[in-house]
Amino acid sequence: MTTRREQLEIDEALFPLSFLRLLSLVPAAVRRMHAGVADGRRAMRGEGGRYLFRGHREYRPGDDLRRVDWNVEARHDRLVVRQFDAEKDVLTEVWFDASASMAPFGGRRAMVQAAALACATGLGEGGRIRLGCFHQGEVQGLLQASEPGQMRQVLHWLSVHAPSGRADLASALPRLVRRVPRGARFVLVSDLLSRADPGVLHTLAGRNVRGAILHLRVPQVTAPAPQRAYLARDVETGEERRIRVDAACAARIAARAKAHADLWAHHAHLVGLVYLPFGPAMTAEALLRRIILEVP
Amino acid sequence: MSLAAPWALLGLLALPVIWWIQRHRRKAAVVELPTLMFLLEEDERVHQPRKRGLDLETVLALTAAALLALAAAGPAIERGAPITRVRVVVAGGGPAHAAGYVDRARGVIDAIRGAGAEVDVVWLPAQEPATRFDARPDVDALLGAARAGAASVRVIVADRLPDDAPGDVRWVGIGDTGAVNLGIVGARIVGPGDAPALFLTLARDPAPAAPLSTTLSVDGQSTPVEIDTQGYGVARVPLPEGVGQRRWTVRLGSGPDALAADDEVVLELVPLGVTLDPALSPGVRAALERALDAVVGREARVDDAALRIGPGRAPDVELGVGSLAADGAATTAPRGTPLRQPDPLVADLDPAGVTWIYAAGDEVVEDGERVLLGIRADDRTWPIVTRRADGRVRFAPDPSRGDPPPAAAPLWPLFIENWITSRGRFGVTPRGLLDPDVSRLGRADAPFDPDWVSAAAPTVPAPRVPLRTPLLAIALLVLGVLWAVPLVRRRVAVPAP
Repeated sequence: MTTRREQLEIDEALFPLSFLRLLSLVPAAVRRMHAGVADGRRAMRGEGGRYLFRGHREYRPGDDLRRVDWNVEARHDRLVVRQFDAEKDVLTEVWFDASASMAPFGGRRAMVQAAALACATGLGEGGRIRLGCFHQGEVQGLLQASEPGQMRQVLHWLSVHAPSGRADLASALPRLVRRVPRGARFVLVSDLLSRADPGVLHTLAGRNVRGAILHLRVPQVTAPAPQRAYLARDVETGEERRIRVDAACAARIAARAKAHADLWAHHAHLVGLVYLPFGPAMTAEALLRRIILEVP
Repeated sequence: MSLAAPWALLGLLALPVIWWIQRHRRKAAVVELPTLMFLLEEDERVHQPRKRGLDLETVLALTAAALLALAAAGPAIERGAPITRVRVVVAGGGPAHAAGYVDRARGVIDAIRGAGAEVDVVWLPAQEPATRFDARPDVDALLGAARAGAASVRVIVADRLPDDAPGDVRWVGIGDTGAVNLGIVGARIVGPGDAPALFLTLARDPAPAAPLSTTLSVDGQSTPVEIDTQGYGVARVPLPEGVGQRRWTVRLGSGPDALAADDEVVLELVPLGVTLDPALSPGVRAALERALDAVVGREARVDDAALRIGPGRAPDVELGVGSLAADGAATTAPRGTPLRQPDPLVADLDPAGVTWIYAAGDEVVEDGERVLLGIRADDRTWPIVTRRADGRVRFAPDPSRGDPPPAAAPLWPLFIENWITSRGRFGVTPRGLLDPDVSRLGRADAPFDPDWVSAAAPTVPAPRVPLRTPLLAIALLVLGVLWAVPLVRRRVAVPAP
């Protein structure tokens, strides 16, 4: 009998065993890192209901007397109050760039691992996730998941969805934003290599959307090393340019890339999104830590 | 090396093919980038492979193919220079005693060496210099010596050039065109009858433009003598009795002389004997006696020797050329040769048909001169001795041969005189007269041409070092580099992500 788990193939080159082990630790990591976070910011897994019991603490003057656990006072002569987390349906929308530009120089692996970590974080927090991609200006939802056990499906979709075509962020982002529910956590994984106006992010304004832009930055593009002449070919458009990158040229390219990233970061910040750059050389652990700690 | 070798041609033809293949194969290192948006503002060159120049791989491939083609042609380099050997034969003998002759010959040899050739020098005769009385080597001997041995150029250095020199031997004339032979002494004793005397014949080659006065010295006794414009003169020096039993040394007077060897003669007298054929008419006999007297003086003893002069037949005596002894130290007996054998003097005549005539008085006149002695054959007369209107005896030039032409050679009468002497075992053996071939100075001037050496094929080619193996090794090395270049380039062209 072939199980569903066995049918979902995962690209081991993209998701090696070490990464899978890391994914299994995400829920615990989320709990550990979110300990002490104010109520309502995070949701924990539970049976549901209006209140989710979290524990007792010593009574402080001003506490609602209705939350005093009188049983404890009767048995142990201690005055404690019961604490509950507000049960909240947190949806994490993870959209990744499926254009061909994500592939070179290990970009695809970094991208799918970032998307997987974002999904794992969302599920690890007890919420739901929706995974989708966009390319050629179109958006495509791939799956919705609410259980950590569904991470395999996430990895499967990330494995089989090979980058191709152009992203066309200018067309894709408005469509994508329209699909993001109010109050959802929005995670965009992309290299943002587009001439699209970052101002398109402002369509998210007023929708109570939070989240992050995980910006894939490949050094060969954003900070190339000086090298002899070569024929550069755009993997999306096929355009070719023969160029020789000397030190001055490399500096100019890096400056342009930085200005481009800064512009996207600025607009992301304006709409409440965290700008989080990462690259192929960044370890999954470091990226996970930043996602957990920095992505609201 | 020959580039016409089939494999070399094939290799050369492969060069454009390799270039064409490389041109269509080579591509720039292509780097696929996620975007070019950050590069668009940089200077760019549109990738146009057809306009690209030679790249390293093409150069290496062409180099390897060219090296293989060259190796196929079997090239070789010459280590050292080829050797051009020149065999030089210098005509020695009597002419070598002419003033400056040896120096001029050595100058020619130095010039040949200066032209870059190795020179093998042969003196002919072998002695250097030859004894001054040696005859001039004949042309065949010179040619034989020149053609011997291995040489690229064969040169004969002489003071005369043959009329029909063969083409395989070069001739260099080192005769002194301005040389003047003061005189040639011929001597014989007149007497010892009533008034013993030394009859001297003098000649000069060439004849002087004006009469030449010089001095004869006979045992310290000087006698002035004048050589006329014909280059001929005679003198009589009175001698004491008993001259036939002693030696006499005669020297021509001082003066610039290109060939002093013929200025001295040592006499060891033996009377000249001539037998006149009894069949001759008394008149003819008397005429011949007078002719002999005119030629050789009273030394001629008629009917006292084996030389026979008569009509209808040649003298039946043996020929002989009296050898002169250097300084009179020795004499050599004439080498007998039948007259019927070819003789230079009568090479064009049939001895059997020769009639020796004596034209007495007015019987035969040639050019206004009465013929005293001549040769008649085929109804033609060659005057030998004529008497001029002024009474002086004139000797006709050699009608058959001579160099320079006998007409300009006043030595002819002396030679005739000597010849008559040499007809038999009579007369004075050391006549004091050199072989006219020795006495006549050669004045040919033909310079050495350095092109003879430069245009000649080397006698010993330069040793050649084959280059095929080194070229193949280099070609293999280049091919190895050609194989390795793409691997190295693949590693360094694009930095690892």
